Amino acid sequence: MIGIDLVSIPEFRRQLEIGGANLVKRAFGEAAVQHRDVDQLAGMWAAKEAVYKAAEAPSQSLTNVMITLDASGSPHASFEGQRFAVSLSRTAEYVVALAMRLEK
Amino acid sequence: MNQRTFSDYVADLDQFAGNLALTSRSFLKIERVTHHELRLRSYQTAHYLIASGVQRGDRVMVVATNSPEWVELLLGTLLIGGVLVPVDASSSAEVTMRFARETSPKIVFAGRNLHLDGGSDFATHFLDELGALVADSPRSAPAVAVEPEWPAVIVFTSGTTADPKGVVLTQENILANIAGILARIDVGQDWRLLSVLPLSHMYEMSGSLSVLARGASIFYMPRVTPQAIVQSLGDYQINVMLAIPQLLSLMLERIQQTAQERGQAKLFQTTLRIAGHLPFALRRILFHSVHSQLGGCLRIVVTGGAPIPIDVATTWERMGVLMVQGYGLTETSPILSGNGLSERRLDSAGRALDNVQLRIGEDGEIQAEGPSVFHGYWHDESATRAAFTEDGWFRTGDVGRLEDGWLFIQGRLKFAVVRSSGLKVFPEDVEVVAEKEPLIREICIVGLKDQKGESVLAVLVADGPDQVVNDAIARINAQLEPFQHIDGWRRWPESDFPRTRLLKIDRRQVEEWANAGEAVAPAKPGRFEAGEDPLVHVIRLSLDDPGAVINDSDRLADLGLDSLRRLTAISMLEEQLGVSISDDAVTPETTVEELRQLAGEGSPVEASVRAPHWPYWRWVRFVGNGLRETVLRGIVRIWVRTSVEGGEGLADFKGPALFIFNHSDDFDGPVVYHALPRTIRTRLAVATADDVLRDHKMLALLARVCFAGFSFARSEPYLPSLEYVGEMVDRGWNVLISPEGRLSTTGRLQPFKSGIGLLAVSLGVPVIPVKTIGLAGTVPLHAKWPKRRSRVTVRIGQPMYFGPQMNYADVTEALYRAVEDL
Repeated sequence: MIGIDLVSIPEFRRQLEIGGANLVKRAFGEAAVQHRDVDQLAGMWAAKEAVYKAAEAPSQSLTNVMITLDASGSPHASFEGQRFAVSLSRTAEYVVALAMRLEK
Repeated sequence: MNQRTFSDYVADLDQFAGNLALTSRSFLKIERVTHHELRLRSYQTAHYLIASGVQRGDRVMVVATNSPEWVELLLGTLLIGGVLVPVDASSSAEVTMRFARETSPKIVFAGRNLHLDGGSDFATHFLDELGALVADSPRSAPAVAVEPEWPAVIVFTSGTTADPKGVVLTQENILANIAGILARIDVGQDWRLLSVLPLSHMYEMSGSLSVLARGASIFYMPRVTPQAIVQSLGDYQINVMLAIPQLLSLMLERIQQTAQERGQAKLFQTTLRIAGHLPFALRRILFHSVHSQLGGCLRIVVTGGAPIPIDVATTWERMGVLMVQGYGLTETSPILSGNGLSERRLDSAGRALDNVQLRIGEDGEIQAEGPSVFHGYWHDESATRAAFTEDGWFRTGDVGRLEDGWLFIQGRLKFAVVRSSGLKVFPEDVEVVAEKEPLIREICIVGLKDQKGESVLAVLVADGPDQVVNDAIARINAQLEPFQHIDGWRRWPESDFPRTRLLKIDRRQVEEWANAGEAVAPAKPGRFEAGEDPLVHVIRLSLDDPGAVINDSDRLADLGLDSLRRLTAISMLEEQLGVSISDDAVTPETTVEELRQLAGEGSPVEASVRAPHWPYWRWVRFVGNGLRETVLRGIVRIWVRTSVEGGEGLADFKGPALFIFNHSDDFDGPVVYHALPRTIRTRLAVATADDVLRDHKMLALLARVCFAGFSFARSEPYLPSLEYVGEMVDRGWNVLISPEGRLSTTGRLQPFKSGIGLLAVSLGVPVIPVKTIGLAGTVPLHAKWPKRRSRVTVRIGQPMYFGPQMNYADVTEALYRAVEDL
């Protein structure tokens, strides 16, 4: 399965502003509170959503997706023991993520 | 203390040079500014503003939440004769731009949530960068001879949106009011004030400046929520608050709710009755459990902004908290009258301040004169003329009476709905917008009174079914500022409103009808319940649609809440209600009603991390250190022989620092503790697993007394624990912590929790890795007694330093390797 997600960066920024630290904590785990780079967080959010879709899982348990970078800098994700290849593309306004399940 | 201008004010701050002036917390780090430092930073800000081209009379705008930088910017601006234009931090970019057009500021300092583009008109900076901006400026008084009559601030009244009026206050106005306030209320150096109101209001601004003028201390919170307030009251040992009645009602409700949950509602009421006859000290003992909820120190609340309901004030007083009520307007800098600490009447707004004269004019209007009364509105001569009587007294627009010098407020001359927050909604502003809706034939906005204050009720003569009217109201609300929103509506029972002789709607009659309660059945109150309902509020905010109609049966997905917005709404709801809601329980199919239930059932977030202070009392440390160095040390030696390697450099090391170690055995806390040099040991606190402290009372006592132990969460939420480590470090304590979180059963080092990396980068203190070798198995997991004797090597590494820009995950990794490689 593959999954795709499109995130509007200005809207994402707005949600972070009103949701504050509590939102960041919920969405990305406590450690991410320190993270100030909204673009990067938007990318991570898109990647997570894409992974849920690829995994055919409902979009919840938000901190369960692990996103890592391999040596070449390309992102990979794991969720419930499954591995996913993730690809991101962005403009100033949008970031789009595509996730593909690698093995069952 | 005769201060003519703010040059004198700032210079006088040095009388209390060493006293703590301002404290704020950003994430894990606490920022503290002494009076001396505040003076120097104000000077630096002044020099920076001069260098940025700000001259006498130039405007500097600030749109940000309260912080030490806010106060520094205020003082810095006044020091060079600049004029600060404070705008409420929650204002939208549009509103801010409108004020900017009105006052054409040279520079705007904004909070992080606001993105302004001043183009070539003005420069913009983030207020939290002020420290960095002024860092290279001289720390000496700027050479500007400021005069008392120079304008100091322009504060826009919360009045009409069509026509915001900028109140110009001079340096003399504000300083006169501070002198008046201090003559009435004897502020002590030991006051610790929690700031809950925005500094963009004169009440908070003059209040804060008064408190600082006496060498006292102010504390700021990153976000003002009921939960954060309760937490901060304890954390900062707050004894004074400036508050609005709304907040006091809210806190009181919570206290009564807690009493009810404990099955003590009756007892609470009885105690309240008795307490009225007792001295304050006894009341505080009687209501000990209430005071411990409130941090234990809260003694004085100064209320203003709106009249406080007498029963709320009485209840607080009976619980042993002094309620000091005052009265004033932005135009009067702001306090006109106030109660004193000893001479008080709960039903009165107090006596006129010593330098203020009050009189009752025609129609019962309160009129005022004195050095704190403003001279005019910004660029609005007709409004200025209308604000004063022919003999030059200021017309407050409020109706009241004076009895033996005591002022009693009776109401308003002009119609306005006064929300419990003190914000005024003028009916005309709402009606002008509503008249554009064709199906609304007539509308009359009135205030609906309840215990907390007034809400905005629209009384309508309208065509069409309720649903259509609801939609119309939603469209109207979308065009109004949030505080002006229509909270509910009713149909007028006849085809037209009662009229005055001049054929204007007789508002007084409509208002009486609306407030008559059950006697007149309202047309179906409608499903429209805006404003007061936090759930509806957060959903609207998240959708960025202030007028959205939200029904209880709507599914979140249908409302347009995608997964991110859903999460935003839950996050805000949690903060506002002080509960925790599991996000797994909320799906796109969840209805508003179900979410409301979840929020209602949500487990109250306990302030369980509030650590007791007693383990850090001097005599407890004395006894604890003594016991540890003698008896405990001896006992540990029976089973463990320790040899220490490294750590020689630590002899002169002052700290504070974080000491991290591998958790291979239940005995390693004491073993590592004793391996560290004595200079460290005397101020070394051990992060102890929260479940251990909770479940093993004897062990907990031992850990707290002998090892200055404090509770550290082993599972989510970690943040309060991390914050507490920040607090300990801030107080100069070294902290011993095991980043693995759990005992290693294999003897191998387990991955570190990333919290340790986060602590290292955000606290900016060195981390010293420590490793024990050969200890594993001495007291294995779940064992009560040592199983064997061991010879242990404790290796102490070199201090590691990390910059604030480093990635915490990398730092966690580096720390892991440092311990492993020892």
